Amino acid sequence: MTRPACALAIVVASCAAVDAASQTAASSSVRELMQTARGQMQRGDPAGAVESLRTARTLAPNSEEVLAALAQVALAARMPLVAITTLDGLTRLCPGVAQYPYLLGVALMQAGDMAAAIESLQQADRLEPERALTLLALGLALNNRKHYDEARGALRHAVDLEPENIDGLAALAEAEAGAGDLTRAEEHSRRVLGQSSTHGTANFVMGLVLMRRERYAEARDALGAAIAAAPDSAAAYYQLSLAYARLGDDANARRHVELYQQKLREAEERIKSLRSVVPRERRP
Amino acid sequence: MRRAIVSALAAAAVATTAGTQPAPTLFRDVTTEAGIGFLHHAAPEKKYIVESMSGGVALFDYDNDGLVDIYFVDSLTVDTAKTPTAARSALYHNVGKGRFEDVTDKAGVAHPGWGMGVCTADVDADGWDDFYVTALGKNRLYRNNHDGTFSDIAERSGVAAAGWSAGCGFADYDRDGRLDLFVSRYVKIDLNRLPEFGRDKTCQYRGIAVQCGPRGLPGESDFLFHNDGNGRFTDVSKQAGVSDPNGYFGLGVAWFDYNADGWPDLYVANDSTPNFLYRNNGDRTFKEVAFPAGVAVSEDGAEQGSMGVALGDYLNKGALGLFVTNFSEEYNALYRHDGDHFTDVSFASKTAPSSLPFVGWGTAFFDYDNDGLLDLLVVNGHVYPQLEKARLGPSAGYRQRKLLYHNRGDGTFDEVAGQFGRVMTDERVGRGLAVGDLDNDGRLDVVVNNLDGSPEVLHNELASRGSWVIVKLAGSGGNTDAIGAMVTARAGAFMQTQVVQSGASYISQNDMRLHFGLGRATELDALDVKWPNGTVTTRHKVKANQIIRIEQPR
Repeated sequence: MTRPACALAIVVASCAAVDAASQTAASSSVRELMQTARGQMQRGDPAGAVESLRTARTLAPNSEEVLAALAQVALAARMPLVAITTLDGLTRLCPGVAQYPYLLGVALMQAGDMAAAIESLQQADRLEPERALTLLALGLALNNRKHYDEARGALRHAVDLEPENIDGLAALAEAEAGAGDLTRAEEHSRRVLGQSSTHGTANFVMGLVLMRRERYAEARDALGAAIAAAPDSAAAYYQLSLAYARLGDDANARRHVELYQQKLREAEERIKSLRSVVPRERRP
Repeated sequence: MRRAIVSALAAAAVATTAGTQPAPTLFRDVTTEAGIGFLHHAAPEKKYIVESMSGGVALFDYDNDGLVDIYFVDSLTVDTAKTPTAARSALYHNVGKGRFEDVTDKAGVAHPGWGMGVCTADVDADGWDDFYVTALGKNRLYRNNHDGTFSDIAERSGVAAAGWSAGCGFADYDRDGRLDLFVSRYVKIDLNRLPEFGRDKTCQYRGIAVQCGPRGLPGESDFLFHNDGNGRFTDVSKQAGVSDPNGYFGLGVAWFDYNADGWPDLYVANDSTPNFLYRNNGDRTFKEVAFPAGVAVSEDGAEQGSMGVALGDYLNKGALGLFVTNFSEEYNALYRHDGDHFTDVSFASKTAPSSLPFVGWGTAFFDYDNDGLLDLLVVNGHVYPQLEKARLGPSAGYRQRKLLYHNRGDGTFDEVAGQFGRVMTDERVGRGLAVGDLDNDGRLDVVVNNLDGSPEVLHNELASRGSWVIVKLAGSGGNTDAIGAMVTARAGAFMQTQVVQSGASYISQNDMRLHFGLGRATELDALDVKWPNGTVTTRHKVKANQIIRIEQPR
């Protein structure tokens, strides 16, 4: 399913490791480049902003401010290679700052390396516990890896911290469905759908729950809604094909297997192109 | 039905030790004391996929002395490919009292080439089991000469095949009374033009250079050979609709009549591609229905790296569930049989989470504690020895422990390998796995063929008081082992169904006799045998703790 975007407010968490010399290296030309990058972001040119910040980085390679800006702009521009390499450096430079392993985790999720993302997000959680965003990202990554019991713990905590976060609640429902707790998964999905009837993850989870309850017609409708919200979801197409098969609609079952396979191939292509830009040592 | 065996054993251990609690004994590794000296050969670095996939193991009574014998399949390596004698598969004759004798040379079955898997059947219906060995190159059909020797008749029977064969299984798919043969094939490989180790992205694993494949390499089609009854088989793969023209990477094979229409259907585990479920149309053709049946891919639609297959009525409802072992970071899939389709209950059954770090291969449903519920065993081991030096993330390393699942009786399992000591938790590179009762004591033993080095013969020594029955079927006509027969045991509320299978697990062969754990029951109310031709034989009031032979009426 399409994952809810995690908010990426640009944060510079000044860390003691950054020496004064490198801070002073943020000369006026660096300031200008950062100002340019801000303008480029405002104009909707994240690629341009990344270039400006890369230039700034060559002038001030140890400036936390420059590196943090570059990482976050790269994330926003969906340039995971730049984000990951920058954040790898930042986490080494500022090992006590939770924001950087958090961002690194998000970048790794973007790049499809959930195993590494989990490690990084767990590190962020250790450094700054009780942070809903970190727990949500961790839960999403754990769900992706089918570590549903662990995901449940993280997401329950995230939802406790931010009860109104429907993305967190939907992710929790997904973990519950994965772990086989259909009652809670249904309850939480329904709560999300009560607030947002088109929510992709919640509809998908409802589809899964209804399939397991052998309520195939309702499952078909929920999965159709999930696909409307997330048209790239191979999993939803696959489950919808099963719903049609159980309903005896062989033609639609076949058609949705074909659509599922098409989505699967598209997803593989996306992952392949993402991995081609991920550093070799971090390749999943 | 279920006893508190583990508690009792723990209590006994406390009583006999001072302050320490040794793990209760379930299996004891008797490989060496049994006289098993077989070693499976494999290149240390496994630079090519063809060096990672062997080998199977078969449990069958080749000399009809009532004791199950063992055949281990060995493989060559790229370096030894031109020296077929560099690999030595081995036949061990069970001489009783826990001892085996290496009779390989006398039997003439040492060198089947670059061996992969094995399945058994009495192909010529003479009352003596023959066996088929898959290989890279020519496969072998070893006909039993009734004197402790075998003759390879694959070429003249028309089943030598070619390419890279992996799984196999015999069944009478057209119910003409003769056993036919399905052979799954894996990757197209040319030993003179091997894909270069670490060549590109498909030959890297988390940034480490590894062997290439199967993704990125061309796959092989599969074979169905029809038994013509004159010692000859004919390749009918295409007309039957099971040829796999797209070349999915075929491995484990399981024949069973999933829709109970009397015609054997066929499941094929494919690596990194969707699995097949071929529904027998009853007219010598099949329809591939894995997707609508829900057994092609994982619950979220991912194509898994499937290796081995086990069938078992783990819910005691008369329906065979399907368990498929998969690559690491995927999950081993348990499919509950729900009439005309299956439901993925891997996570609901609690078998999936523990399987995520492991690459699963051989697997079997079996009632190790005779409590009347089928438990589950999986042997694991990675394909990349390069992981030995670089254990990455949550995945297990190259050598991996076994997974043993104890059936709780409510559709869920507990993973209990850790309770039974090093024999279960020592890390090996498991491949083939077969289950059978080697000493006819009513407790199921396990034999594992490991890729690197020595196998494991695991003798079941659980102090279980659960009773049991072993059923040996004698079929009529051309199917003397009654392959495909379904046997249902009933005792009060207890009911369990099993099927006689040729080919199972990961490219291996279980003891074809059917073992039923019975818990406290002292006799069965009834034992129903549904023979492959559809007729039914019922035995009433069958005493527990015996091996019962049932003959098919002529």
